[in-house]
Parts: sequence; structure tokens; C-alpha cells
Amino acid sequence: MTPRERHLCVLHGETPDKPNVLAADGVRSGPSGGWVRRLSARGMAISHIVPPYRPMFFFDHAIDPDVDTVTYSRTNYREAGVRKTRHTLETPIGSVHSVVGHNPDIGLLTGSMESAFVKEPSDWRVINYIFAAMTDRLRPNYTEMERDLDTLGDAGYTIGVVDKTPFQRAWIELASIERIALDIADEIAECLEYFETQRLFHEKAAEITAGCPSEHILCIDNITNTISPRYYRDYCLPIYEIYSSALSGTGKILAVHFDGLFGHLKDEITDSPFQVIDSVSIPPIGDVSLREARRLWPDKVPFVNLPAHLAWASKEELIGGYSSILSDCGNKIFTIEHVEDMPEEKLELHLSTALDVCGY
Amino acid sequence: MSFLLSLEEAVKQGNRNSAVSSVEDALSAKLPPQDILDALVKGMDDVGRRFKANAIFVPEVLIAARAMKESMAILEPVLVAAGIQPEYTAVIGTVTGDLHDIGKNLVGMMWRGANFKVIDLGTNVPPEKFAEAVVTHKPDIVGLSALLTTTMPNMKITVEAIRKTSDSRVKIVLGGAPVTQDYADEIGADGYASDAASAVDLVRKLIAS
Repeated sequence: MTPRERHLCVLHGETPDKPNVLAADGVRSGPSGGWVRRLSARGMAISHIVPPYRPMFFFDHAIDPDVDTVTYSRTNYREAGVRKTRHTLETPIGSVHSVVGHNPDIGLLTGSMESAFVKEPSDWRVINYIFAAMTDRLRPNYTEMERDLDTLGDAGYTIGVVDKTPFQRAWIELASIERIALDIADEIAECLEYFETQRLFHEKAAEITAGCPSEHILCIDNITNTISPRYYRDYCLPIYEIYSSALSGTGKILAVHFDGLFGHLKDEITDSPFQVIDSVSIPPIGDVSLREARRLWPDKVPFVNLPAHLAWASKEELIGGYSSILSDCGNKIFTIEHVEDMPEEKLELHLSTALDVCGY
Repeated sequence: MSFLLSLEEAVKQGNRNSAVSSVEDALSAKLPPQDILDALVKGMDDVGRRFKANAIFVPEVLIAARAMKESMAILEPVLVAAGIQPEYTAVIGTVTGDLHDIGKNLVGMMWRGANFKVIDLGTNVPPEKFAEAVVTHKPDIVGLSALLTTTMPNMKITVEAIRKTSDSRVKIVLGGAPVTQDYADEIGADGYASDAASAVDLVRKLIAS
């Protein structure tokens, strides 16, 4: 099998010749030192992410709403040795801004919000205006996706990445966790309207996504123990259902990205209509073992993180770690993926060990 | 229901209006400020227990913490006037190279809720700044946070820097996504907490021992 064939085979829950080993190249920005080329030659797959539609709002890489009535500007600067970006969104009804600090010394697209767009409850009004305008402007982005699929060819696959669900978007991209939690509790009208605005955005985005060239649709929702089962049912599940319904009959597979701890959501995940659990962190970092995940969700395919607790481990320890992943999965229908942070100097060792253990 | 029971219940439920009015009622009734503080801490302890047991989650904890914070704003001057000190002093920060702050902030919030004085050094904190804070504030506890595998090793350097200060009684605890108990043991930290609620129990246990 080519890496592309293997990726699609696992994605669809079918048995490949070997488990899929994948480097999510689209989220990595650091130097490769040649390991991508070397490991690709051995059969490692590469994934890129491209949105099926534009505009999308993906903090803090794709924030430009690209609509006539909203002006977006960004300013890069350094402060106390840290690279920072100030994002400003100006609308006829007001403006909001956010400051992001970029974690030094890691080659991964990740920033930390120092100052959020929504500082006061009234800022939700501006956010709602922006997303309503973006919804009107939503259009297919199929050409970019087709071009990327052609570029990758048999080396991997282009994943259609869609926007976060409303609660996750709120605390990761727009406001502090405290702001959104308190505004929901206080039933702030503009905050409640935000959820409706988001639903309308996703309904239209899902329709466009259903026609895109990629079979792999990923919601990078970063679900972890920040969200309660109740909020998951209220704010995530309905959006997954919108996508699932739109994708039904298209042959496309819906994946959701998790971060570490999701043991408290076992029942909710069982009831969720996605087929791929992206970025499973194995214990002791995560709280659901692969054996348990297989038992609980036999119809869902795990995409397993490089184990962060072994980030600095020796080759021998890594062989043990990756062999455990292989045996705990019980069959070949899974992916080992580099999608979260890992020291650059250890990436080749991790991925090459995964390839060794998986029989490449 | 007495003012104190109603205060404890208000914090548990995250009802800030009820919490604030209960503190005001308790002060008007000339109840001892220490008893009022104990009721607040009991309420937050219950919140911490339920948080640890996955019975409630971050949003509910934040709502309870707001009730506690607004109550403390009224009570604090009375506590100061009565010479009542926080139970422990803690220094907290995210280690150098790492700008993530959510985990650190949650732990700080839980520690404040347990009546600790918390000195938050922020994110991307160099080892020498932690060491300086230990000398300046003489804390009982130092909490180090890291979210990235790449910044985890900076915890080791920070632990070494703190151990070089003359304050040998200070306990160092770690937390963060890639951190484990094994790693805490390996670098000579005193403890590891897997979540913000456990961080309160951990400190109490360490100091008691």
C-alpha cells in the first residue's frame, strides 16, 4: 500500500497492510533536518490540513474574516524576548483585539492567548457580527484542497479541517475560560446569541464541506477535561451531528481532535457521530487506555499521539512504548501520528521507532 | 439556616449574590472572622472534592471561585484587622520557554480558595526568578507548570535553582500535561498533581509530613 492508500484504508475502518504512521506536517513549522524525506521514503504518511471552505477562523493562523465590513490587521512584535502578535478586528459596531504569545523554541504552530478578543460580555456582540458576516461570505475552497491533494500524491493525504464547536472556540480562540463560563452562567444575552450564530455558521460550512474533495474531515476541537459532559452535549454534539448529517452518504469520515483527558466523556463519545478519535494520548498522560477505547468504541478508529511521557526516552524505552500501542490496539486499524508537540531532536527517533515496530 | 451554613452552601452552588450577602450578614451579626473564612474554605473544599471526582468541571469551579473571591473582597479587610493570616504562602509560575497559563491559573485559584496566599510569577519564568521569589517571599510551596514536552526539562533546572537557595524547607510541586509522578521523582521535586483539585490536597499532605 502507498501511504495515501493506507491512510484512507485506516480512516474507513478497514484493515491495512500495516498500521498507519503519520506526520501531521501541516501543524509543524520547525526545521525537519531531513527526517520527513527519510521517513517518507520508508512509508510514513504526511498529512496537510486545508479548510473545505473560506473564510475560516482558526486561531491564530487564519483569523481574517475576509468580508467587506470587517477590517482585520495583525502586528508582530517582540516583548521581553518573546515574539507576540496583536490581532485586531474592526467592525461598524465596535472592535476587539487579542494578543498572542508564541512559545519560543518549538517548531509547532501553537500560541498562548495573553489577551482575549472577548474581554467584557459586550464584546460578544462584535464577535457575533463578525461570524454572521463570515457565514454570508462562506464559499467552497475546493481548488486549494485539490491542489494540495495533487501535491501530496501518494505520500499522504490532505485533511479537510473545519472550525471548532462553539464552547471550545469560545475558550480557546475568543475569550478566557472564565469569561465564557461566567457569561453562560449569567445568561448574558449576547453570549447566548453567540451560540446561535455559531450554529448557523456550522450549518452552512457543513453543506460546503460535504462537497469537498477530501474524505477526511477533521474538527480540531481540542476536547479535554475543561469541558463537562453537559456542555459537551449542549455545545459540541449538536455541531458534530450537523456535520455527520451533511456528510452522510458522501463517503467522508468525520474526525474530532481530543487533547489528553476525556475519560469523563465516555458516554458522550459513545453517542457521538464521528468515526475517528484524533490524537488519543495514552496513559499516564491520557486517562483512557487503548484497550479501553477499543472496548468502548469498537466502531471508532483511534489516531494515537506520539506518547508525550516518553518524549525524552531512549530507543529501548520507545520500542517498549510503541510495542504496547501496537498490542493494546489489537489490530492494524489505527494510526500513530505526530500531531502534538514533541522535541524536534526526538521526532525522527520516535517516528522511526513507530515504523520499526509497525513492520515498515 | 445559619449565616455560615448558608455561606458555605452559596460557595458550593457558585451563588455569588447569596455568598456576599451571607458574609455581610455574618459580619453584622459579629461572628468571628475566622469562622466566616472557615465557612468559605469549607465551601471551596467541597467544590475541590467534587472537581476531583469529576462530578463538576472547570466552568462550575470558576463560578464557585467567583463567589469566593467576591466574598473575600468584603472579608479580607476584617481578616487583616484581626491579624488573621492565610494558611500557607505559595509561589506559582510556568517555567521558562512556556507561555501557557490555564493550568497554572486553575491551581492558583484552587490554592486561593483553600486560603493560601498565592504569588503568581506568570509564564515563561526563568529559574533565577523562581529562586529570587523563594528568597523574597519565603513560601511554603512552589508550584511549577509546563504544558510542552520541550519545556519540561526546564522544570529540572528550576528545581535545581530553588534548591540552591538557603530555604531548604520549601516544597516544590509540579503539574502540566506531559508531566508525570515519575518525572517529578526523577528531577527531585516533592510532589506532582495531575489536576488543580489534587494540588490542594498534595500541598496539605506535603506540609503536614
